[in-house]
Amino acid sequence: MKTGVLRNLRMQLLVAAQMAGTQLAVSVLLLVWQMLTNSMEYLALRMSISAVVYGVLIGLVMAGVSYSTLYQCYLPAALGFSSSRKASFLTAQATKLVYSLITVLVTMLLNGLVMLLWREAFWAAVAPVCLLTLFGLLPVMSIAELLTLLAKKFGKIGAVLLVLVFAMLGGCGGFLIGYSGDGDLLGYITARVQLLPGGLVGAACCILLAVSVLLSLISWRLYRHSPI
Amino acid sequence: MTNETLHCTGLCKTYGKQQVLHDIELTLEPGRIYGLIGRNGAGKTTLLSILSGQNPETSGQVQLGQQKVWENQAVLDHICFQREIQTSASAGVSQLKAKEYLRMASIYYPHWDDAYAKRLVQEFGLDIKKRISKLSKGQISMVSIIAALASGADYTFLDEPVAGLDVLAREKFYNLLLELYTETQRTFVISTHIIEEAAGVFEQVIMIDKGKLLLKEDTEQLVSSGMLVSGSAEEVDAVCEGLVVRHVRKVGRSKTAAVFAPQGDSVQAHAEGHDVDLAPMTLQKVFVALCGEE
Amino acid sequence: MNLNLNQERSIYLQIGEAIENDILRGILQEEERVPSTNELAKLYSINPATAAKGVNLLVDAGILYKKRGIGMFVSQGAKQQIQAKRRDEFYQSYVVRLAAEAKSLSITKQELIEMIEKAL
Repeated sequence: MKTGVLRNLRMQLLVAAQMAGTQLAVSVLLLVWQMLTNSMEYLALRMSISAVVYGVLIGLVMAGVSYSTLYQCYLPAALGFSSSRKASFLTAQATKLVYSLITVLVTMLLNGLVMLLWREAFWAAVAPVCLLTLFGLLPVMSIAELLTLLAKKFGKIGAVLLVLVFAMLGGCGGFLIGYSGDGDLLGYITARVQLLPGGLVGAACCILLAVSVLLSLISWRLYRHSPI
Repeated sequence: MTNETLHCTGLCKTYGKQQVLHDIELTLEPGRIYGLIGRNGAGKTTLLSILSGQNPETSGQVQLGQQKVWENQAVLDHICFQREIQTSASAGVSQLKAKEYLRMASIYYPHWDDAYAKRLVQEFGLDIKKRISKLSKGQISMVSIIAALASGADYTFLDEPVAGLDVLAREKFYNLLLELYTETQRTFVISTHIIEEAAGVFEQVIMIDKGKLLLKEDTEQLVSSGMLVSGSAEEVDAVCEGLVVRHVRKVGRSKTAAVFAPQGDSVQAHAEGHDVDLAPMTLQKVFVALCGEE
Repeated sequence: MNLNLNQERSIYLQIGEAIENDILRGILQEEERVPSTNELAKLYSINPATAAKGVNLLVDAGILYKKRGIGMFVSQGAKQQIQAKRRDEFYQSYVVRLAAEAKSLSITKQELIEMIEKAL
């Protein structure tokens, strides 16, 4: 099975690379737009928060959509090319982590600009958000995985659910982005997060991981005997 | 190259309440070209998908030599099953570009021959930068064919590869297949509806009807085991005594019957002394006689 | 070589006949090499196993012989052998049929002989 996993990795990493590129591009675009609509004093503070927020939100939607595409398109193709279900599923789980890391790294990259101006507070502010993002995206992708598999099995109903869920996520994202310009809701949230004790953040991450694993186990039961 | 046979015993497949495959026992040997024929819905695709480990069996055994096929990567490395790429789904494999699809094939098939694949792309004149869903039906078939032929798998199955290909492209396919077979001695199983032109290519024919295996025989032997007997109704009936009659057409007082002689017997022997015309059967006529509605 | 295969008879028999015809016509001389089964399969777009069957028929009958590692060759006296065989077959495939057809058309023996003499 080792060779099977390696082959799947090769393919899935190619897809992940594509996704990273798109994510970076979209994040930069939004950030530039933010820069253009704000005065310079705000910029330092706002930008680092926005970078995190955009990184997370876009990561959320992209992770969900990309991951669903993995299950709709790339994994069925892999099975059609005589890969085993075990190998493709296991690799897909590793890919969840990869996608999460990509989102976090993209976010960090964007923040690199502001790091110079805000060094000490940077890690305090951003670190918990990054950790929560890293672990928070895992259940999002597991939901996407489960919903996609359900959509394949039960047809139209599943597909509708899938669209609904991601529409909701996109809606939340849009709402929050709209807010950040004026009511500083995001700044508030981020500030709150940075005050959370490390232990709480750690516990939250564990719960998020557990949820992700649970959902994946259900997905495996659906996937292991599925026809192509 | 493996020397093992790919076989199944007692293979049954049920979808919900419907049983689509009944107790199939089949052995595929290395180094042959098989034709898999049957009506729409007879179970050809299901059978191939189970033999290639892409679909789980409901009951029965599917093995390559002594090893199970299902989820066994070591065995799966020797098998390739290329189906028609569906364009009906709005999301799915057909959203990939042909180039990506073939690149994936090259990653997954351990014996992939890239030079050969490139040569085929050129010969078919395919624009692989296009999305599969944007290609014509014939071109989609070609992508499938290229993936199958270049896969290098010991057991390669193609599901209706020539559907959507025009006559010239079909001939090209048969020639490519024979050329590849002569060179590599891989086993190919081709399921098809277009029987007659492919008959010369198949060494053996596997016939499926309503989920049951009807026969697996040497093409030549199968075709020569039957004859069409025609003449007046009484004469034809007399000749048919003791023979297996499969398909009868009546026009006025004349009758044509497709008959098969049991082992050791011959239709000619029965026809001796009777005023009837004997005509040999073609593979297509045999198929119609055995699987057509009465 | 006649590259037309008809659907009416076993392919391997037709392959054998095509080679025999070439020998009769002098296209293939004695001790000359005959196309290999792979070459034949490619020419006719058929399975190599079928081509091999046709060739082996001729080998069994002694019309062709095999030189290990090189290929199939036309045997000495193959032409005469084929002619003799075809003469025997002539009776079965043409004459018997001729008689049966004549009978169904109610042509008398005398009329038939006159027809043959006219044709010769």
